[in-house]
Amino acid sequence: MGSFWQIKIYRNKFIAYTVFVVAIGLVLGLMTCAVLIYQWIEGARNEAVSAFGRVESELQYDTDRIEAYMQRIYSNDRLMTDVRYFLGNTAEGYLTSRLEYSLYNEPLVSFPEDMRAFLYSSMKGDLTQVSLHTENGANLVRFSNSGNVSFRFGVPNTDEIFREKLEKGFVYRKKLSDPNQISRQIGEFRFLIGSEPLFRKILGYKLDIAAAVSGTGEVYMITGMDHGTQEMILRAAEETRNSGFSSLGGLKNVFFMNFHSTKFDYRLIMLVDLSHLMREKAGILATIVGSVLLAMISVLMLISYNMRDDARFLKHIINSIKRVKTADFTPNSPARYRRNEYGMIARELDDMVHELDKHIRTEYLLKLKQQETEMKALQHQINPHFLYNTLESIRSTALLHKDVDTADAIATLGSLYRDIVHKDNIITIGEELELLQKFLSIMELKYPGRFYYQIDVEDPLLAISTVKFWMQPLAENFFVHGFNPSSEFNLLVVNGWEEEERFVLEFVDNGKSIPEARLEEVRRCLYSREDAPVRSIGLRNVYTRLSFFYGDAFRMEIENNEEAGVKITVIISKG
Amino acid sequence: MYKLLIVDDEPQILEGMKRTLNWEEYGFHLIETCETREDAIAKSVEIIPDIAIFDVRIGPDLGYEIIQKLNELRLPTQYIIMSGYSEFEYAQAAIRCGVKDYLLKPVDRSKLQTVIEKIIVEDLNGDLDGIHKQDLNIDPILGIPYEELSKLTNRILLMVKAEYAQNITLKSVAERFRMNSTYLGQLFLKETRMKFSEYLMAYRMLQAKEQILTTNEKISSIAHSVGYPNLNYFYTQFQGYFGMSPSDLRKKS
Repeated sequence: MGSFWQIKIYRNKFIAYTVFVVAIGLVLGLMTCAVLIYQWIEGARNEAVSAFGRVESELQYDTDRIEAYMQRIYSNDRLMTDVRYFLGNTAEGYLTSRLEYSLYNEPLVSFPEDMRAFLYSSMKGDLTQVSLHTENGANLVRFSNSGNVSFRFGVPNTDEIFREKLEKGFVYRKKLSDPNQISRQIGEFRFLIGSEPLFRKILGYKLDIAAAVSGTGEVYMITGMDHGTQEMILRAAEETRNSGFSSLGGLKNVFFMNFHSTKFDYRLIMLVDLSHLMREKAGILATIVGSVLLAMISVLMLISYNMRDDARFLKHIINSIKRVKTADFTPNSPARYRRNEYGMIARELDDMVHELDKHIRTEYLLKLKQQETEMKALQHQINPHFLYNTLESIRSTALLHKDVDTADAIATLGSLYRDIVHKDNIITIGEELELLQKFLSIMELKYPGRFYYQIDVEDPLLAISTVKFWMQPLAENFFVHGFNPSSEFNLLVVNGWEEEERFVLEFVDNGKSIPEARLEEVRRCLYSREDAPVRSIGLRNVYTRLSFFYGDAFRMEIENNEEAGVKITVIISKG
Repeated sequence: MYKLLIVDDEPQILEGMKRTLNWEEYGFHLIETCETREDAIAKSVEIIPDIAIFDVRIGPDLGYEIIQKLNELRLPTQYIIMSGYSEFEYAQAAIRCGVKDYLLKPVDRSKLQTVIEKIIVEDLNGDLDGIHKQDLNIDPILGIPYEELSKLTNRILLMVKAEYAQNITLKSVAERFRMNSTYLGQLFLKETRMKFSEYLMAYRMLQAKEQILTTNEKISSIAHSVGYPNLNYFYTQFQGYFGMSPSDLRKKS
């Protein structure tokens, strides 16, 4: 799973995908939730609208009934008469008057009874109290829940019972005029439509919190007493909008609806408590969140599965390159390549490595082995023990003839030959200088009294590693091109010193100088990396080998000395 | 006095080894040679050598096997092996039987010398006093044996000694070497720790002193003969070098 994680492009890609998928998931989830909440609120609003409609229609119906009953009073003389007896009378007065003016051939009409029979019953219990007022006081008829009638006579207008309170209900006033003289007002009816029976009718609606608020700020809680407070309703009442979301001044997040009644001075306020709503629908919300999460995880899994597959191939390619860089050409092809560009690259790379390997084997290793075999054959032809023993014999013979110089030269030659054959290809500059010194001391014997050499190299240079056998070719160059056999003073000096940034080795002779044109040619051949044939193969070979070994740290300069001879400078940068 | 045994199956090499070092000078007065294993064991037991040099192969036998055998006899001998082989196994076997050193053929004189001197000092509790002294040729000015100086410096010193009476300078020497004179002067200074001109002056003074003490030549002609055409200059230099005038020196003697 994590294999693609180690590859940067896939890691970045995966992070980008993850961010994208999570963002999409969040947006989708939130949008779904928002739509659902909107729908729930819309449902609640519909419910509220119909509840409000119901209240309004009930009120309308009730007032219609009252109006109709008033018509009945005016149209029925006897009823009117009874009403007038009732108006402003005491209980005894009323009863006495009724009886006094009753006619035997007519049934006794009773205003309260009539009202109960026609108005109360048609208003389905909404009517809780009817009072008939004069200027000073009133007589009132009360209906209990079960429809029983009770009376009170001579109650002053200022009595508590006539205070208009939302708690009690809505008061509908009707003037009572003299039927004979309409303009004369003789009293006033006050019909009380009870809040309790009125609002009970909307309890069947699904309302979270509902309350009626009067114009004076009285609150009548209809539902939601359990978790709501009057405070919330009052805050909502302060809202100027008809509906919307509000935090109710920090109390609670709600959706509120404000309905203004056209009949009476009150408002119906309904609230949807959002947290309550969330709690109610927690199951649905959890399902949505869960399914969005599930979708996100499966998309990410799919992506990482795809990437792992790609990464495996990329890794294969990287590994192949790494192996080839360490000169490991063993084939490492997977059982199957993918049928896409990755597979193509992987297969081509493996093919390339294979071809390269084949090439190296045939062109290079084979030839090397051949040379090695030839070398071995040569070495076996001349048994080294035989060679060195013979040299020792010759040395002894020289000593017998008291020729110490020859004896020493033979010892040096033997040791030089041994070093050349047996030393590793990579040695220190100190060892390389020893080889040179052996060679030069033999040359000294070859040209007695005509050749001098001096080696003066600082200690720090001696420990630097180098390739074997590059100083002798430089010295040989001098003996081939620069040496003057007729001069007594052929001189070769090797200087070496450490500078701050580099090590310098200088090979100075006093032989023939190189003509300027030829020097240019030598330099050109040396620095151009082509394999152009150069006359001084030795110099070219030394330059190539040291370049390979030291890389860019190495520089070689060749120039004529002012007096005579040539100076070859080898510079090895530090670090 | 030390005793030396050399074992090799080639008589020529035995003779050569006897002459490779001036053994006498190191205190070896008895040098025996053998060519076979039996002979080597018999000789060893007979003379009990201080140092024995074995070839790694004595006919069909191996040198270090003979050494092993001699080790069992508990001889107080220090062994050196010489060999044409530089193979690791031989060297390892040799080291295992307590050989002091493993010299490769053809034998390098200076290496053998180092080993022998080391054995004399460390194992035989001898000293090297009096060695090199008699035949050593020391430069009178530098106090260094000529052998320890490079051939180039020797050559320059030789030129001074041959030509000090003439007008020799560092420049003329360098011209003959076709070298930059500063460069050559530095080479000379580095090895002798003395400037060429200082050396030349000192050598001339030495020669002048010699002549003043041993002849009755006139100072002016002596000055001329050691390369000072200007007599006043000679006097100044002489006074500076010896702290007295040439005539004072002659009077003193």
